[in-house]
This record gives sequence, structure tokens and C-alpha cells, in this order.
Amino acid sequence: MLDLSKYSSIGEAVRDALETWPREVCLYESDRGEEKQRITYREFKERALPLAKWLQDSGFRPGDRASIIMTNQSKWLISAYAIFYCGGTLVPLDYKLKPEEQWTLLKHSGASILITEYPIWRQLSSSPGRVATPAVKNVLVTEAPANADLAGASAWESAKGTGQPMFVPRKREDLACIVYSSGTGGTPKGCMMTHGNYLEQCVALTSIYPFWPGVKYLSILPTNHAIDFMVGFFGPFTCGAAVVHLRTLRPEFLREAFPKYQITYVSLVPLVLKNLQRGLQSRFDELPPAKRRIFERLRAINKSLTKSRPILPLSRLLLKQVHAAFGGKLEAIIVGGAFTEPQTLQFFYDLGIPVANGYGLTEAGTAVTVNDLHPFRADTVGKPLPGMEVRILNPDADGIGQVSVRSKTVMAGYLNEPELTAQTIVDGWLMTGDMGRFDVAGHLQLFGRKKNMIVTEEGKNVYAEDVEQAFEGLPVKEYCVFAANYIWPSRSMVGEQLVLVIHLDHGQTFTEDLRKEIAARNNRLINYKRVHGVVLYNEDFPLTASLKIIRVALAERLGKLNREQAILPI
Amino acid sequence: MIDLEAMRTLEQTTQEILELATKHFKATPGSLKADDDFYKKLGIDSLQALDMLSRLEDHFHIELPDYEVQGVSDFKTLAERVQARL
Repeated sequence: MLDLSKYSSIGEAVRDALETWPREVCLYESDRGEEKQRITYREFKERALPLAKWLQDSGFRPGDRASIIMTNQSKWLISAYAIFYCGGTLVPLDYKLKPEEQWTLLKHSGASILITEYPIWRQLSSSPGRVATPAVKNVLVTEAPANADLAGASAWESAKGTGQPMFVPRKREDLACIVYSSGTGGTPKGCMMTHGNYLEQCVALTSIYPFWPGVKYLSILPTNHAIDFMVGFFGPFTCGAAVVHLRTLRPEFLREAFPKYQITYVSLVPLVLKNLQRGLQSRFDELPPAKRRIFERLRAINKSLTKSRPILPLSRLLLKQVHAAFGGKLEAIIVGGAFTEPQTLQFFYDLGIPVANGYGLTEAGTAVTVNDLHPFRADTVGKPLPGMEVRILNPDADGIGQVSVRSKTVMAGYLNEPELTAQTIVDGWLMTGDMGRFDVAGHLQLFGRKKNMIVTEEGKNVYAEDVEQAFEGLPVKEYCVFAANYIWPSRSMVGEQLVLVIHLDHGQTFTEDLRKEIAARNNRLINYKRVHGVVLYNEDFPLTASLKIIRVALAERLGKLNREQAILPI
Repeated sequence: MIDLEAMRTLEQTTQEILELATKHFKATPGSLKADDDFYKKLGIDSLQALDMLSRLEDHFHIELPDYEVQGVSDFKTLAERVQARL
């Protein structure tokens, strides 16, 4: 691994990596089980530098912002490096957002360049948001069919400047990325991440889960997500390792990729992990009784021998077929993005597949705590990473309080939101809004949230305010969206739901037509943003002088209702 | 030779998709409707929805990239995407 203490920016470190391991493969790209390309560190450089020159020739200056909206693929990483090479700030956006939401964030970020894929651009270019976002001057589109109408964009493949681009050094405190942790409907939360944030995080993470030349990391989580950006780009690249991209996330190709590439690490959100668990369990259930008994015996032996630490060679020997299905080289599955149920983690660990569960948030620079597997603990999110100070604020009688973090990995603040930043980072401590406590072994355990938001099993942060727009104009006196656990505090981190609270007009009743209208509006939202039910409240909402809803006060009043009875299905 | 694939109407495509989904996810026959939100009605997640795409590809002999179902959650829109590729 490169000695990252010597570097002051992502671009500088990756530039050295490309020189250090020129012949190592850094990227594999496969589509529907067929390998489409294999790129070495030298080839990566040869593809990125002409793009960097093109950017500079187009007037892209140090500190300018460029956005990437792409699925996981080699051109994502090549483009990102070209942006860093020019001293630019990267704005990675979620390709799964709706075009209008993407334009909202593009406008907020101040990006002047957009790099995207043809199918995404087809939707973006015809969306009204384009006219309202004149700051985006240049658009590069990858993989457009020949003769396709690019609607004012240029083909990424032709964006090649001639001659050597100029490498632009950046300082550790300079902005590297603006990463949106939410805010497509309410206040955009653009986390300003510095180069120092990433360099520090990379050192901390790789001290526990190292990469080396030969490692193959399977990149499934979207690369705009802080986890994949770190473990599916910056981390492996600073260690001479390789990243495997699949152009489809279909379960059958995902399963195929493990043995085909002999994957070393993969990061998954709980949803995918549970999907894998279901698949494996149904295969175990189909075993003939005699084989099933042998399997259960071997699993029990493995479980007892790996209690204090993983012993991979032993597990691979005992449960050969299971490990063969994962390629036989898997060191760990990194689970992140959302809280994972202990029984799912334990299921994999008992099979001898270490699961690195942890806790983090974009604002903290990805991971805050991680399980070091010595021993494996399914009931906690592990210990703080090196360099992380974590404390529990105002603990109650059970020791549970708000988790706060101080570290060099914590963001510089929210873009254009000084007030929100001041509320979130207090005296250098990041207020996570998550509730937790430390156990006697120094492991962090989580118990619900203080924030009016939910995190889905897909690792999506959904702030209640962001969903409210969908109900604008609803024929009721007042309405408001809440995370149910914000109204009725729960010590659980799973099964979180949003609810729509409505205050009907005097004399109005909750009719079938109104229910249908709510359901129709709800269905227009992307599935993970939908509200789960309706809460009827027959008093005026508490308002500020400027007529904004005082959410804390309203939640407190709603909290007096019985949760089970109050939530009506829609 | 008559190209049967090209002769399918959107209604037929929708019907075939509903039948395939009923069979694949073991739903009660006749319970799925074109306007249904398949995530909600079938209680499936996004990965299971992707899995359904592969079944549709095999059945209709088409290639349906993942991005075609991005943001799609009802059978009717799904049928339109399939129809466009027949």
C-alpha cells in the first residue's frame, strides 16, 4: 500500500498508484456473465489523461465542480480520476434518482460539467430541470449509439485532448467531493468532503481490512455512495488491487461473479445480504436428509472452532461447497449503508464467511466503527476505527444517548447550509442523530434514531421532509410526513417506516376518495420513499411565526397517540 | 413467415407478464392487475424485481437492460417497456 501520510490529495495518491503498479489489473468489467474489458493501471492512466486534457481545454479550472451520474463501471472511475487530476471537485450523484431530483442537486452543487451514460442522459435531457440548470455547460455521455441525438451533449469516448494535461495539486483541506446524503425534496444535504477526509479514512479502514495487489473487490453498491467510493475505488487503487464491475445487478450474474473472479471482498447492503441468505437457505433446505445432517454437523463444528476469530482455511475445508460458491477466496463481506439484523450476520459467520459489519454515515467520512472479528459479534456494530473519537451524549439510565464523533474524517460541513452545519457539528463533534451505547468490551450498540428520517435496507437515507412535496395540494387542512420512530421512539433500527400525518378540514371526513388520492401520490414516489400509512390528527399543527410546522412539538403531541391504532393503511 | 412476436398487442404483453409474475412469485391466479404496484402486491424487493426481468427476457426473447426498469413499479409500465423492445 502507498504511504498515504505523504499525500495531500486523492489525485496525487492515485497518480502515484498508477505509476507503482503499471502492469497490475485495476478494473474488470463484465456484462451478463461475459467479460467486456480488463484494464491495467497503465491503461487506466492512458484513458484518463486525455479526458483530463479535454476538461482543461474546455475551461475546467481547479476548484470547479464536475458531476458523475453513472452506474458502476470503469468510466466512472476514469472520469473521477480525470476530475481530480485537474484539481476539480467531484459531485457523485445517485443514478437511481429521478431526472428532476438529479437536476435539483446538480443546480445546488454548482457543477459545470456532467458526465453520464446515454440511457440516463436520454431522460435527463428531456426533463424540464435542464433549462433551469444553465450552470451545467458541458455534458459528456458514454456509450451512445452511433448517430444518436445527444441533445447538446458530447460523446465521452471522443473527449480526448491532445498533449499532456497539467496535474493540479490540492491541499488536504481542499474540497474533494460534494456527496449528497439526502435532500432531493427538502434541504439538500451536500456533505463537503475534503481530500484529508478520504486519506484519513482510507488509512483507518485498510488497517483492519487491507487490500493488496491481487485482491479483487466486487463493486455492487453505487459508486456515488461513500462506501463504494472508498472500498471500490480509492482504497483498492492505493494498494494495487482490482475492482470488478458488473453491468447488471441481477442475482444470477451476481452469484456467477464470485467464483468467476474469485472475489476477495464485496460490500453489500442488508437487502442484498438477506437475498443471498434466502438463496443459500433454500439450497440447504433442498438437501436430502442424510446430506443435510452432515452439513449441519459441519456447520456446528465450524461455528465452535471459529468462536474467537475467523479461521478461513479451516472453514473453506469444512464447508467446501459453500465457499466454492463464493469463489473460495472471499476474505470478508463488508456490510453497510443500513443496520443489519444480527441473525443475518450470524448466518454467514457460522458458514465461515466473515461479515464486517460496521456503522457510519457520509457526514463522518463513511465508517465510524467496524467489527474487527476478534471475536465476531453480531449484536454490535464493532469498535471505533483508529483515529475516531466516539462518545455518547447525555446517556440515560441504560447508558443510551446520542452518538457523536470527532475525527479528521468528519466533513467540512453542508454546502451552502451554515446553520444546518452549525447544528450538526458542535464544537468539532458531529451529532449523528443515532442513539447508542458502548458495552463493556468497547463495542458500539445502536438503539434507534433521534432524527426524523429512515434508512432503508437498500442503504437509502430518506428524510421525511423530502417526501412531503409529493403530497403538495392534497385537499386537507394540513399535512406533514414523519418517520414513525421519530414520533414513537423505538430502540429498533430495522423496519423503519414513514407516515403521513393529516389534519382534515372542519367537517371533512377521511373518505375512500381521499385515501385513493393519497395512495396515487404515494405510488408516484420511488418505492423506498413511500409512506407506510396515514395518521389522522384533529388539532392545529404547532407553527412558527413564519408559519412553518414545528416538527419537534408536533411529534411530541402525536407521540401520545397509540402507534398501532393511529397508523391507518393506505 | 409471420412474426408472432411483432404481432403481440400491449394488452397481450401485459397479460403474459401478469401470468409470468403470478407463476414466478406463486401469487394467487387472477389476483394481479396491470395497474398494481408489483413491489407492494408481491411483497418483493428490487433484487427480486431484477430477477423477474430475466424471466421476461427468456419469455419474450428480448434483452431488457436494468435501466429499463429504473423507477418502474407497475406492470403496465413494465409491459410498455417490454413492448417497445419486441
